[in-house]
Amino acid sequence: MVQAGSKKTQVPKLSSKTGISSLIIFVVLLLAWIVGFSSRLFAVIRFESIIHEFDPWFNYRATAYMVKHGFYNFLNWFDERAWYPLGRIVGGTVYPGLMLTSGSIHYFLHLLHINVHIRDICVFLAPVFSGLTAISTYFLTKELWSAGAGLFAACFIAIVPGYISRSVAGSYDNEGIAIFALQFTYFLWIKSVKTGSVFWAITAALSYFYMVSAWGGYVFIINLIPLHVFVLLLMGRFSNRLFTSYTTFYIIGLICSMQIPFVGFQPIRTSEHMAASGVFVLLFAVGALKYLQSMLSKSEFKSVVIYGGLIAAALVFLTVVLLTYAGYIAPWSGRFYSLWDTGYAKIHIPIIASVSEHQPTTWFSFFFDLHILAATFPAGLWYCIKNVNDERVFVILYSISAVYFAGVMVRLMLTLTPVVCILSGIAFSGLLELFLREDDNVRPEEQEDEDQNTPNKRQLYDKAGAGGRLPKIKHDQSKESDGIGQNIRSIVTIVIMLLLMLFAVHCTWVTGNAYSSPSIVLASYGSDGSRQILDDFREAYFWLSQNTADDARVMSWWDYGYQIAGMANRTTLVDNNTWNNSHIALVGKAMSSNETAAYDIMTALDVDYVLVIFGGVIGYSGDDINKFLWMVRIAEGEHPKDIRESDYFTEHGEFRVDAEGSPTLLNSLMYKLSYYRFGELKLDYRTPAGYDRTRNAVIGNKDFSLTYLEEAYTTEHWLVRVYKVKKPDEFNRPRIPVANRVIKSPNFISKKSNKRKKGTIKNKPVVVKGKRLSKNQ
Amino acid sequence: MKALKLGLLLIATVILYNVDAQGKRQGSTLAERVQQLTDMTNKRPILRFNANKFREFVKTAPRNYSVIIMFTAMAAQRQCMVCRQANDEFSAVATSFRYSQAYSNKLFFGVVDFDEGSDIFQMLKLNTAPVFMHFPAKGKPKGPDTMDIQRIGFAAETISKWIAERTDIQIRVFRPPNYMGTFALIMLIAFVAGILYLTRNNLDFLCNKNMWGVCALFFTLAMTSGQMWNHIRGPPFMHKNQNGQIAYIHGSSQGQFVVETYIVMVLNAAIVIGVILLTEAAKIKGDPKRKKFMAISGLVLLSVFFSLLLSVFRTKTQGYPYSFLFK
Amino acid sequence: MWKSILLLLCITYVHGAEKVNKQIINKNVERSIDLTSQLVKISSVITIENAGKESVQNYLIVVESPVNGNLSIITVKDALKEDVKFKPAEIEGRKDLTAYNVILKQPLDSGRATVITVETIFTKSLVPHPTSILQKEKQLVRYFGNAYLYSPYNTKKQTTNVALSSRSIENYTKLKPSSQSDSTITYGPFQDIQSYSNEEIVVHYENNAPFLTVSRLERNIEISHWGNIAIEENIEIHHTGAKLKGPFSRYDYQRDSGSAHSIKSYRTILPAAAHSIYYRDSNGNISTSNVKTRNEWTELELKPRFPLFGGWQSSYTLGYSVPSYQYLYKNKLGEYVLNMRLIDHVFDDMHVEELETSIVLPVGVSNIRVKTPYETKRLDDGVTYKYLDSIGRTIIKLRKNNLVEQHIQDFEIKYEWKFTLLFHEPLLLTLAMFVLFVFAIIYVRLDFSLKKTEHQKKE
Repeated sequence: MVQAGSKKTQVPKLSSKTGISSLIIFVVLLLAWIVGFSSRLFAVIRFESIIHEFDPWFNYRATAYMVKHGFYNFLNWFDERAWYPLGRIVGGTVYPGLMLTSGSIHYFLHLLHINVHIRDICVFLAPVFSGLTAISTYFLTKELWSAGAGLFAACFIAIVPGYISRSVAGSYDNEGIAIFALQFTYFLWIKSVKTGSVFWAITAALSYFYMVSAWGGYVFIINLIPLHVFVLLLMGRFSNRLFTSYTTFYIIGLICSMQIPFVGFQPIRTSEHMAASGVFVLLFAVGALKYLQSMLSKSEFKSVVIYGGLIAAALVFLTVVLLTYAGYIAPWSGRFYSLWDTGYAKIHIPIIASVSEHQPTTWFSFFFDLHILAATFPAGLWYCIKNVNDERVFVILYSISAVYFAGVMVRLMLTLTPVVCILSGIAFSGLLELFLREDDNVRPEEQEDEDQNTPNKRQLYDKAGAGGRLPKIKHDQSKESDGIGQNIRSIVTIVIMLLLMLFAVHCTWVTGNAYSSPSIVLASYGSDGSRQILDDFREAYFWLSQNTADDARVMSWWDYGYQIAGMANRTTLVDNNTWNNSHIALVGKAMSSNETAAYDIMTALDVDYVLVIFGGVIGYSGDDINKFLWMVRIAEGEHPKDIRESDYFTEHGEFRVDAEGSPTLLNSLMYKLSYYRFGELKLDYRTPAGYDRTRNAVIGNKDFSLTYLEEAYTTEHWLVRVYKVKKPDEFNRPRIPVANRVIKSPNFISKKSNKRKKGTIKNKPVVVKGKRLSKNQ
Repeated sequence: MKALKLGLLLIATVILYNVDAQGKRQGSTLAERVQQLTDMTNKRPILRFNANKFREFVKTAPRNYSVIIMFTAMAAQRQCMVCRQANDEFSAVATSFRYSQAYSNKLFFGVVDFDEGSDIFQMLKLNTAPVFMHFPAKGKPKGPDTMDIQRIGFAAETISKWIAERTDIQIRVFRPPNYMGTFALIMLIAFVAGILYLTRNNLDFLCNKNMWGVCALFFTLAMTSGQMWNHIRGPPFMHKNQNGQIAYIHGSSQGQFVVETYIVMVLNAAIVIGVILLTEAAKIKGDPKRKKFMAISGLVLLSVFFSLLLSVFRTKTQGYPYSFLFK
Repeated sequence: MWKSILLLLCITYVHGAEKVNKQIINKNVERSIDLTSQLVKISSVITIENAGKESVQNYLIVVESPVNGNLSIITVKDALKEDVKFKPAEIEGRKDLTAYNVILKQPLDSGRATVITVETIFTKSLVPHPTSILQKEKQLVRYFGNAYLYSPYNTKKQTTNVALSSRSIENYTKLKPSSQSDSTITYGPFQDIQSYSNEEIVVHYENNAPFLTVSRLERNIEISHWGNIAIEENIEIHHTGAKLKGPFSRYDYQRDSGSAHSIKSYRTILPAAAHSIYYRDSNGNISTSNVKTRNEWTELELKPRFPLFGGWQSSYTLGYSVPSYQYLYKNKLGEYVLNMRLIDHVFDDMHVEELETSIVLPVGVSNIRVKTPYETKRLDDGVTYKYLDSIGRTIIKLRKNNLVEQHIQDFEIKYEWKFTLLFHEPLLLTLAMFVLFVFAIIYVRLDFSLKKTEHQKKE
């Protein structure tokens, strides 16, 4: 890949006798790739080659399925092991790009009889693609500014934490390849805008197709590119190049993107995509006007413009409104809506608000992820604005929109990072270019600036000299001997080098400390630096996979659904793609109600095992008790009659597990399962028995016994506790009368249904439910 | 619009007074009281109670309906802004209950103003306003019958949720659609359009790159300094701990104060300016002194402020090893 | 193929029915039944006397029918502890018995006596009773056996010692004479026992030895002539003791009250030269294990992810590499000879229900001959492709059931192979790279664009 890429860059060079520069480019890009790859290997070296966290486990499972059963079976895959009893149509609810990528790599390698396990391909996919991202960033920046800036940008993006955070070895997630697709699409788009050739537009569309198949973030592209076109129109920069490239791109991109089952008809149905088609129409209108302008006289043209414009605008507006009302165009989806009205998720969608990466971003994490780039990229932005031209308009819009979204959601820092790298690259290269000017060796960037800026000149002579200044500057730069002394130059250079060095070490530190722990294997460091590995998750999952019935149904909070499916290969009730809120709420209700009520729900869902995460022994903070309030909230959202958040607080409105804790909490299923027989355990001699290290409190409800469940397995450090749900004949309790059981399921159905059709029917089942419960409790 | 609402409110109260005056004279049974309450509610979703009406309808023993009372101080001289917002939310809930399917004579909404029923305030030992209390059909209000405003606030949705908890009546809140936002937007657009139209003969200020550049830079700086976080989370401006000294920088990496974000913004801006100065210094033609000065100042800005930023970052991160120039 | 046919032939030949030579008597028999582990090891020292006139060469050993299904291995040694040959036989009139015909080293003249030691090992002969226990209960097992040596000959005098793992014995069959001293029970001496006489004894005692069974063991040996032999074992283990009933409480387990019948860890012995050892399962590396290198072997302490209780199972993969010079050499005929263990040590007193050993020979071998230490079932060969192979590699597959430690013996594979094949893949690789670069060069030199690029314009 590197070779191919660099060879392409060499095409002009060889003819222009500066092979040395292309050699430098080749070497730098290669190094960027290697460095980026190896700096993502912390987790593999510290632990092992393993899939990380939660979502990657699903992707891995899906990929393995595809490799085993073939692509078409994968598309038709109905996964009955998830979302019991509903099941999940996987083929239609995933972006298959990731699986396809690694699957095809696997296929290719096995053609050569290099028998790599699919797991290893999945683990190392993201680091490999980080190299490709660096290269495409180089090309993009080269198109935007200069090859020197491109090299800077490539090096930045190779190691910047904001991107590493999603692409370390083992985090096998869509973003890993999507950022490459993003950058590459933008590069091709810029290329097509500059050349106005159909070829580049088509390649851009195809790359966009790949992006659509890879990540939901393609919406960003399909809104940003039309925005670019629109702004260009506003700036009066309409040209046939623009017309050709956008129309080609839009049509082919549209048709391609609709081939993805998960996307389907959204591109013509949902409001997220309407901007693109609107701009498409607008572009035609403007084109038509330009044509008219060439034929009509001034006055006629003016009237035509005014009336035609008004009528057209009115028409477009009306059609959109009508279609929306008629339901052909769906309004904004919730997650997307929460981008604009930032408080939206907090009130309406607890399931979104509960995910930590949907929180807004503090300045801290900006600096944490971007370090000096966060502070310097506005400078690059400044120069892009000062020497604006068609493609720089694009990067300006890109940066501004991306920085807004990054401010709203932490996870969108990912889309900001590439443009930050580009702009900082521009800033730094601009700086160093000027300050290293006196150095004897002629730097490759200059040459490329020349032969790269000539198109700007050519295309901008007809425009009012935007950006035309840049090469001029360079010329008189090289002409006049500057007045800044040599030592100031060298000092500046040294300081900048120091800053960049700081950046590099910062990136390494952040990557090593924050972003490379595979969250399913924990490591604790003793006082003498000795490392102890806590492997409880895999212990429990492997126990499940070995010693439970193959069709056993495991109930746990949704965070662990994918891992259970992936590692224990057992049926789960809810998992990390949270498509069915009411089902999750039901599990949350079971967890947060007392044992008897929970048992009814569990029998209704015929649960065999319950799995809870409990960190009290080792002081692991991410356990279920700390997540408990979210379970309560989500359950309350669906079952306001039975679950009330306020019951789980003390009078003073605190959430505490010790003796002062509210009785509802102390008797909830989650509490009991977490602390079963924990009251007898004495961790060390200083603390009393039943001392919870995570909450730093002695638990309030110490000696209780479980009626309907029994401890099936608990891992070495008590991190994962698995309980077996007894069958009705296994505990000494009269069998539940059939009447009650019949009643449970219908009103769980009805809760699901009345989630959909709000309003008039809403109250009825709730009232019924209240009666029932009051009867049998 | 609001003024009009208040006006209606006053008129209605006046009417109600007379009604209840008669209502009160004949000592009334449960059925009568329910009847009175119902037709009062039909007139206005929120009933205004003064002391004796409060006693009659809310305190007297045999009740088969529960009452939600907002204790407030609406009078202008009290200057209770919170009460006004609370009142809007409360009335939103009441109206949407009045016109919802769940409407029944099991639940009534009332408001007691301090200036009309101050003795009720004493009786219930209330010394703050607003307070939302629920008087259940049977027995006296217990702890949770007073809504915990400090914790959950008094947005209409939360009020209805609380009501649903106390009395098993679900109320879906219909807010009267608020056209202010769109109206303002339209006004703004019209204004801008007007400006453009007036200055149509010299529109070159639109082409002024510096202006656009400054705007873009400001926006980016605002975002990178976490203003959006402030907007969503609404953190305190700065923190003053019990023994008086003021913390400008939030201790943990999770949070931030408003002033902190401003500091960071300034630091970032300084760094940007530094970089630009340096570049310009090398670019522009002119006397070497000026260029030297620009270069040095730019260098200083860049290095010093970046190291400041780094040290601020350091204070928020445990065990961050690196620093530049000073700790 | 033809091998197996030959095998069949010789078996049929062996199965010519033997008649019992009545002039042989067992002068003295000392049996010791070892019940300390999960296996039943019976070793009987038999003094054979020839009471007849003419000398005899053959001696028949009989395994009684109820237990012979569990018979794993039988060995016969003479007084000098040297192996004595024997072959399966049938006794005329008693076809139901599995018998072995021992050919003595030198014929036994009349009136003379000699001593042979017969060792038999039975698996699955200790039945847990009760079959399911709580976590804190003890594991009790029962042994059903014969107090006498089951023999076609009359026996003058014999004693039987039963060695148990613990002194806590629930009960045992009290024959006259019998005695118990702390963890051993002694039956006999008995006098003048008729042939085929059977006196059942039952011993019910506590046995906390690990009842760990390898239900399936796949052993893959991959030979590379670059000097390395990679061995990988996929092992499925299963606790065949008394099943765990009721909850498993980690708290009790950590307080270590009872639960002695659970298996926390065990030792695996690897060859001394073993290196780059890995121990993993379907979920990745199992971090709880450590390696000790003794000077003549490598000791591996394996801890399963979770302690194994009765009825629980687990599975893992253990892999390592050994240098090939120790096992692979060239004989005078210029053909390669591979000597390796058909099965290797998994844990002490192991019991392997099913073994499948597959040996991956290097690319392009020919004229393969396999010699196994004991009778195994040879499946038909497979073919696999590894790193950039264009020609496949032959896989030899051998299968055997019901193995114990005594089966750890070497097999031998002879094959012919040309040294030059070693450079097959590297050449391919170089060629591919070369072609790639050539294409790159050509591509760069040619200019496919229709319009001339700016640079030419500049010149």
